[in-house]
Amino acid sequence: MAGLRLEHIQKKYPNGFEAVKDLSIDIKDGEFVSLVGPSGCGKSTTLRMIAGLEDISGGKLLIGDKLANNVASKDRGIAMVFQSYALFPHMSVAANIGFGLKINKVDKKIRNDKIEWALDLLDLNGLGDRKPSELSGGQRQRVALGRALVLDPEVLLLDEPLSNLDAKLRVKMRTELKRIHKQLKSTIIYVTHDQAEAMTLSDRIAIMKNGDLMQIGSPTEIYTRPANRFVAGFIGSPPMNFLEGELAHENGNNVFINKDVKYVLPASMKSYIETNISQKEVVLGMRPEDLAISLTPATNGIEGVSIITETLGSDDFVAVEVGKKLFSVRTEPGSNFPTDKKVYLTPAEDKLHLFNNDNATDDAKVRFA
Amino acid sequence: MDLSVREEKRSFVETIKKNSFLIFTLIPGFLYILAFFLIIVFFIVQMSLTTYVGGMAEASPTIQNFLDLTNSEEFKDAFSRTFMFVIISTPLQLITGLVTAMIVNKSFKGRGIVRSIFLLPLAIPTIVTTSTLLLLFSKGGHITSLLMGDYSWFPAIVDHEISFLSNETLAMGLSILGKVWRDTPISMLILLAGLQSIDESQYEAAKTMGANSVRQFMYITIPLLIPAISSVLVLRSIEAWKEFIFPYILAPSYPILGVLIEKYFVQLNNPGMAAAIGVILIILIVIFTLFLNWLLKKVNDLLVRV
Amino acid sequence: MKKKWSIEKIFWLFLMVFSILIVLFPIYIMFKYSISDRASWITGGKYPIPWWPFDPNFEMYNYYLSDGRFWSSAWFSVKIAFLTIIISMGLGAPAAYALARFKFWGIGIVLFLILSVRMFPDVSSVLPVAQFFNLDFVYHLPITLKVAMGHTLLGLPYIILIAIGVFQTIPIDLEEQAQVMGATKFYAFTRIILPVALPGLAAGAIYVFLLSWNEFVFSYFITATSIADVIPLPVYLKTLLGAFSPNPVSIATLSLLVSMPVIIFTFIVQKYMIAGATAGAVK
Repeated sequence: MAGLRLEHIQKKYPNGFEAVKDLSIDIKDGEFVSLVGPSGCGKSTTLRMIAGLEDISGGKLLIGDKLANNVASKDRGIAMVFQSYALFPHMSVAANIGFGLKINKVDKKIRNDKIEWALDLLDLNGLGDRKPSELSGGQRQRVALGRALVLDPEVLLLDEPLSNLDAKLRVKMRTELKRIHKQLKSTIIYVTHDQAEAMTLSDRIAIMKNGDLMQIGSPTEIYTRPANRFVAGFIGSPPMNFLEGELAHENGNNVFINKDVKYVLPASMKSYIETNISQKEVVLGMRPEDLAISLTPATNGIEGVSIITETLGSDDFVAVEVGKKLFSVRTEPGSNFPTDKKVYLTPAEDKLHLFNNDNATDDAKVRFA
Repeated sequence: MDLSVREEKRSFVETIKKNSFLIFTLIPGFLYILAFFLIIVFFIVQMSLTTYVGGMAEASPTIQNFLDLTNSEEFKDAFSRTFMFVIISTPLQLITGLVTAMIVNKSFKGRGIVRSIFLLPLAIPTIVTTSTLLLLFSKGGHITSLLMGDYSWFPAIVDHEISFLSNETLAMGLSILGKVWRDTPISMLILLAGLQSIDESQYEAAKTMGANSVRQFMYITIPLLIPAISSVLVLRSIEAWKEFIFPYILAPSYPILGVLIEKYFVQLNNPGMAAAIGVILIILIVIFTLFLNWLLKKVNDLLVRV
Repeated sequence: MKKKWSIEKIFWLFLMVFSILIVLFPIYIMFKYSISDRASWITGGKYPIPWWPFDPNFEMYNYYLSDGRFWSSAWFSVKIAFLTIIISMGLGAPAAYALARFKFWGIGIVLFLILSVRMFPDVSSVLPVAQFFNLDFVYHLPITLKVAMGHTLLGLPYIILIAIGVFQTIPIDLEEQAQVMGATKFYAFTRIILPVALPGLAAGAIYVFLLSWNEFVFSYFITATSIADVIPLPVYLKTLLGAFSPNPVSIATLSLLVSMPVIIFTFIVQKYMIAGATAGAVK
């Protein structure tokens, strides 16, 4: 296994469209890094450039310290699992898994041993002679994985491998993947649009939007210290609550003001604001679990009206109308918070998020971990 | 009557009434085909069992026609020629169809034009193609001159003028050439459909695992193309048995079965013999097709092991 | 950057050019002969036939285009073709409609029967048909009708197949709507379904036209055995080929004149051909 480095990688199509604008990521040996983002953000394109299925328009790709831009796919030391699995329908499971080995003229005995190893690792014992059409979705996914793993790749590339599975199976496979990662200590690059998946699996997450890298960091970092509004809103479910307004000063304090809300920002945020906030228009963000909700008026809080309560079993979420926005606030399960009442929300002071509000494009401030 | 039987009868009548319009629309076309189908089957069987002299029916029913055929050298020669024609032209068509389909399957500028060009042989009336070949390969035609080195830019391959049309092998070869040229677009279309149904990601996966183009072709394209290839082989071989025009014009002295039918029917005014050959031809087609299907299935099973 | 010109790309390019040349070569030859002057094809063995005529002209075209026999043959072919379209459409479209809508157990048998007619060799099936048209009670039918009926037999199965596909794509809601509003099934079929199906059926009509225009075997056998003072174009062309010393300029010119409508049609229609062939060609 080896590490991988993207230096100012760019993908530009003949018609001028830039799928990936300027991407630099340093991935260490054995690390599990996810590329996450909405459709069209460039994550799959990046993966395909690493795999050698797309030409790299600009920048350098280094696999294990060797320049790989013009190296053929098969010589890059990568193995890829496709979103559609791309299993060969006319070959048995064993033949599918052993295909790469056969092509590279690996000795038959070694080949069979490796196939056995893969079948065992992925819980596919006894299915070696079946055809892909006879397998379930989860089994097929594992065959695709096995096919890649037997090649002992330096880097394992996974393109939305779980998106074709049902929810329950997806959760199960997530655990499998984590287990395999731990066992094999492989370097893995994982593309997904599902932020929960990325959060549970990765050592680090790289969030992309419109071909730009929004932020890269550990799941905790991304969650607790999102670099910009996009990342803050993308990670976490239910998503972060946002209020758009202006930053003002009153009595030596920073104050957040908009039509419906006036909230005094804690003193602890002073240094953050000085360094990071460069304009008057700002966005204030609070996660549902960082808000306390009460019927009694608060001295420094956010007013709203409770609309409905959603019961999830482990948590309850109250939908609160704040001005024109709908906030989501977490409460104790079974608390049965009354609805249609005037409520007061108090955010935890150390869990507030404040961003510059650039309306046209989200702030492309990137934080390196 | 039993209650259930009465119910069945009633529902049958009701079905007829409910769908009267549909039945009404189906009947004319269906009857037309059925009528001719019956005419063809009955007449051809009856004709084959009748001997004719001077265009008039003589004795019927008799298997004399068939007996005469078994003794006829001409018939045996025609049969072997037809057989060779089938087993040579069909695989050739498969190859040319595959090559053209693979060319057209790649995306490049002007692909539509190339595709239209490849379809042209199908558009041209067969009789026209045949006449062109006749011109090219007859005495003094381009190809004969070409081979003799009459054109300064091409070396002489033979030293005397080859008469393509009076040499059995060459004339048959010409017929095969014409048929393959003309029918390649059909194979191309069937194989193209098969090629396009192969998912691109299969090739990409193989590529990342180290397979080059040749390997990709051997391990992915061909196995997944087997159904299309089978279609081509079966359909085109049936057509080859039925072939008439190419050999009729290009190799009239070396008749194949179809040409022989014409000879007996139009020239010798003996519909009986013609029909007998026709019956045998139909039976041959059925037998051959069944055999081919069996063979293809065996091959398919074999390949799956790989 | 990866090399643009790999060996593989050159290989395919070479194959493509080679294939295109092979396809276009006979067509070029035809064209060349059709505009050749006498010296360009009567060589007397003194020199090989030139690849481009010494003195190209359109004399032969003029000859044929002013030849009565050519026009009567062409007109005959046109009449047959249109009659074939009318008969096969008239029989086939309603039949296909019924088969597309009517679900009953015998459909497989009916379809098999319809297709089986095409499984017989043309040269075999034409014999009884030609004999049939010589029978007393049909002998006096116009020759146009006889040949058209023969062509219809050849084209009807394809028309039905194509039309079934067309009707199947028309949602049954249209007819049900009409029924609910009080229309008879006949009205619904003729005024509502048919207009919607027209484009698809047009493709079928074009196919039948080409089939009839090019058809040789049935045309030849039927006109050979019935009284026929005029013959369709493909058969007319054949008469030139049977001559003792065929005139290549005549043959080529006539060939091109016969092929012209077809080639033009094909270029226009080729999109539909690809779509039609791929839908269900591979089982």
